[in-house]
Parts: sequence; structure tokens; C-alpha cells
Amino acid sequence: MRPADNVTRAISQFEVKAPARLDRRVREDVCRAFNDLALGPSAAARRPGWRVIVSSRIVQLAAAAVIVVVLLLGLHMWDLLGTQAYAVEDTVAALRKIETAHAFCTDWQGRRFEMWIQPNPATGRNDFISLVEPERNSIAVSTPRVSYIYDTRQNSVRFIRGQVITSSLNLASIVESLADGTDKKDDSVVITRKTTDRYGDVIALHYTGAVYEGEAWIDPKTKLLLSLTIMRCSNPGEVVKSFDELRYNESIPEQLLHFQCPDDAEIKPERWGDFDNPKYGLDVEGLSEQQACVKILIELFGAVNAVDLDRLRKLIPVAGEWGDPELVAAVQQVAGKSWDDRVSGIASYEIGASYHDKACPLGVLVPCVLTDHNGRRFEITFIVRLRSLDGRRTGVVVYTWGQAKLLEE
Amino acid sequence: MQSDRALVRKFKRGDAEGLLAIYQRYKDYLLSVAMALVCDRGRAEDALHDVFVSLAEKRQDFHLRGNLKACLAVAVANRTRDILRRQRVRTAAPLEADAEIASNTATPEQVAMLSEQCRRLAAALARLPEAQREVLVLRHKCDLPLREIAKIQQTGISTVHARYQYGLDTLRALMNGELDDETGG
Repeated sequence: MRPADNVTRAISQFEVKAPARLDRRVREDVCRAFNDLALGPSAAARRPGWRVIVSSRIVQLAAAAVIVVVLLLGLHMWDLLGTQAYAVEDTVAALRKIETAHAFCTDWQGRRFEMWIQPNPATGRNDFISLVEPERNSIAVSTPRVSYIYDTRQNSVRFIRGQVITSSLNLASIVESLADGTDKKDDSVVITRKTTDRYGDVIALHYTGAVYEGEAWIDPKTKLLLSLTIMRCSNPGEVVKSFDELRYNESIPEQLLHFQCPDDAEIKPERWGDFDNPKYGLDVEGLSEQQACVKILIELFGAVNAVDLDRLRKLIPVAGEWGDPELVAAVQQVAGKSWDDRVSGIASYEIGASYHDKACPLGVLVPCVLTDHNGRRFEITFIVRLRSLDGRRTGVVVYTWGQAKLLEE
Repeated sequence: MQSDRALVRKFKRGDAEGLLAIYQRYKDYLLSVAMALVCDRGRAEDALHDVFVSLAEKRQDFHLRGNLKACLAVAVANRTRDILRRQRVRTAAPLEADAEIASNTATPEQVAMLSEQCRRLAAALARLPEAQREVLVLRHKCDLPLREIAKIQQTGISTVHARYQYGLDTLRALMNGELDDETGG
């Protein structure tokens, strides 16, 4: 038996006997409370202790669940009576046949952006994807051979060999992963019918996973995705990203499809590094995946705290060609604004268990909780890529998976 | 033996014996949960006492949904968190925790109530940050899934995963004597 099993068994078997004096105390006070209540409202009844039960999120959620089940039962019956059967696979199949998708989206900060996607049915990846973000003055286009990011305010272009991370975005895969959720113990997918102001009758597909929950609206006729909202379970209502509107098979605008670099635009060097270049990385030979991730991240945090830019560049391929200001700016996102003043950014860290996510083919995801010197705690997930090059197993930090999230103080 | 639901109905009708029967049924389990969470017998007893008095005071508003044992365990956990927050209790040093446990188990009968393994575990748990300790206890003592714990702690599942893994590693090291053990064994 593993030592961890002994520890968990010890916790489950941890037992303390309630002493007789506690029995007497509880009996007396419980009886007194019953009598007080029988005689009428008392000061004791105004004690705040009840919120211990009422404020329990489990009880609240259980209550909410009962309501949802009742509602869904009704809707489901309506569904059975009035419409044809629907399976998530219908939407996956329909999305695999589209030529283009045009999405109007909102990110977690409420910023609007627009996407054009041209999937390749053979590869499952995108032949073309663009992000037009007016509020960030940015137009990004990615194709299998070359990608570019055009800063409209600075009139500068950064070319990148190959596709950028967002190019792996695939609507069919997103919906497919929802269908997979039905097989997971802690995930659930509820399919109902809804009448919406915008689209009339839709199929609503509500997904609840371990970290995120989302609701997709499906066109009952074409089975295509009409909209998708993804929220964080831990903070209901906090939208991580939403595809507010999706249109299909429109022609991609010519100026996006065939980008013409303005003559006077400044050309910036490639930003994305080569993740499998042997000049980057840390030796993790003989270590398990979790051990390797821990070693790499400890090295990362050590380099951050030592303000050692060379060690950071060695560990993060995308930073390999960055200048100092650019690297400092990137690390500040993790370690805080004071980092460049040679104040150690990370006071303590917790490294969680690594896990794989189909949406991130670049590496394994490792959630961490970082505490800065002001006691603020951030949750951030790193993408760690482990590779075998020239017979040696090494690993690098690809980037962060999403942004750092400030935890409640 | 009456079912939990029957006892709940009984005490909601105004019969204190229904609630006291529930207390008798789960008192050791709930006190163990509270003790593991606060590492202090006095505060653990306070938490358990407060939960049952609250139930008595607000019995007419109480509606049992799901498992009573789990519901009570979460109530105890919430109460211990309130106590820790209010009293600004920080992780006690192992020696203090051990001494406190010993002082509160002064009689031979009470000393026998806490086995050597429990004493070691309590001392080790006391050295963990509150959040990590709560995750471990709720997971392994109360059998709550991590996702449920994330909701209770009002944080992300990845944070709970991290707390769980880090807490388990630290606890294992403490229990195996790999870390500095100020208790002196």
C-alpha cells in the first residue's frame, strides 16, 4: 500500500469520542431552544447560527437542483411530445461539414471580438482562423504555414511560422467534448428545448463539468451551433468566453484571407518559439510526468524570484527571442508589477496535479496557486511540454493556460 | 432504529428527542470532523454544540435534502470555518496542538479516546494551512468529491486539486517524519 493510502486511511479512521460533558451541554441547550421556541420568539432564536445550515452551498445547490430537475422534467416531456429526438453527435456531424464559421464573441473582460474559422475536415484543424479584436487593436490570422498578428494602432506586424495556439480551436471538438462529458462521473449534459427571443425555438444543451459549465443553443433544423456560453463553475455567472452568434458558410473577407502587409508597417520578429528545439528545456530524465512538471515549475518560480532572464529564456521557448522588456512584461502577468524592480514576485506556491485536456495539444496542464508578498493568491495553470530529444527527456513551459485568476482574500 | 428522515420529522414537529437522537447517532463522527478541522478539542466541541443548537432554534425552517450525515458534516465544516475566522486562529504548532489535545483529554477515559495514531494525525493536520486541511478532511473523512469541496470553498476545482495534492504530500511527509517534526516524535 502506498504511503499516501496510509495517510488517507488515517484521516478516514480519525475518530474522537464525544465526552459526557458535551452530551449534557448539547442536551440542555437543545432542550432550552425547543422550549424557547415553544414559548415564542426569543433572543436565542435570533442567533446567527442558522446560516451554518442555510448558507451551506450544498443545501443551496441541492435546492436549486430540485427546481432544475422539476423544470427539466416538464421541458423534457414537452420535448418528447413536440419534437424529434436529438443527440449531441448530430451537431458534431453537422459542424464537421461546414465550410466556414463566422463567430461574434465576448471574452471574460467583456471585450468583443470576431472570429473567422475555416476548418479542414481531413485534418480536424483549421486551414484558416482569424481573430479581429477592435478593442485591442489587433487582427490575428493563422494558417498552417504562416500566421501574423497586426497591431492596427502601432501599425506593426509580427509574422510567425506555422499556426498559433488558437488555430487548434475546433467547434466540432468543443461540442464533441460536451458529449464526452456524459461518460464522466462528475460531468453532466442536460438537453432541453427553449424558446428564445433571438432564435425562436432552440435545443439548449447545458454542460456542467469540473471547472467550467456552459450552455449551447442548437438550431433544431440544421443541428448547428447557434451560440455557446462558457462559465466558471466556482463563480456562477462569470463568463469565461461566449460565442454570442455563429454564422456558417459565409465567404471570408478578402482582406483577411489574403493579408497585405501595409508598406509602412513595422515588421517585428517571430514571437512564438520552437517548442521542440533542444536548446531549450530542463532535464527530467527518469521522472514521472508529475515529478517532471514539479521540477520544471520549481525552476520557473526560482528563475522568476532570482530575476534571472537567461534561466527563464532557457525554460520558455516563446521567450527565447524576446527582448528584456517583453519578457519582463510577460512575467509580470504572473509575478506582479513589482517584479522588474527586483522584488521577488512569488512568496509561496502550490503545484497541483497535472492533467491532460484535449483542447490543449501542446502539453500537459498544471494548476498552481501562487501567493505574492502582499498575501494575494492567484490561481494559474501552466502548459508544460515534455519531450524526448536526442535520447534525453526534457521539458519546457509553453505558456500559461488562460490568465491568472485572483482568489478571494 | 428510526431512519434519519423519521428523526428529522420528529424534531421538526417539536420533539427535542428527535434531534437528540440524531446527535447521539452522529456525535462521534461530527466531533471527529470538527476536531480534524480545528485541531482543538474545545473549539471542535463548540462547533458541534452550535450546529445542534442552531438546528433546534430553526427547526421549522430545516428541510432535509439529500444525506443527513453529509449535510451535518458540511454544517460542522462551515461552523469551524466561522470559528477559525472569528478567532483568527492560525495553524497551531504541533507541540501546542499535541499539548492542547493532551490537556483536553486529561482523564484516563478521555486519553483512551484518542489513539496514538489520531494524536499524530491531529498534530500533523495542525501544521497544514486551513484550506488544505479542510480539503483533506472533507475528502477523506466526509467522502465529499473535490468538485463539491470546490463549491464549499468557493474556489476553482484546480485550486482544490492543488490544495489536495500539496496537503497530502505535506501530511505524508509529516507523518513519515520526512519533515522537521517539532513534536520530537
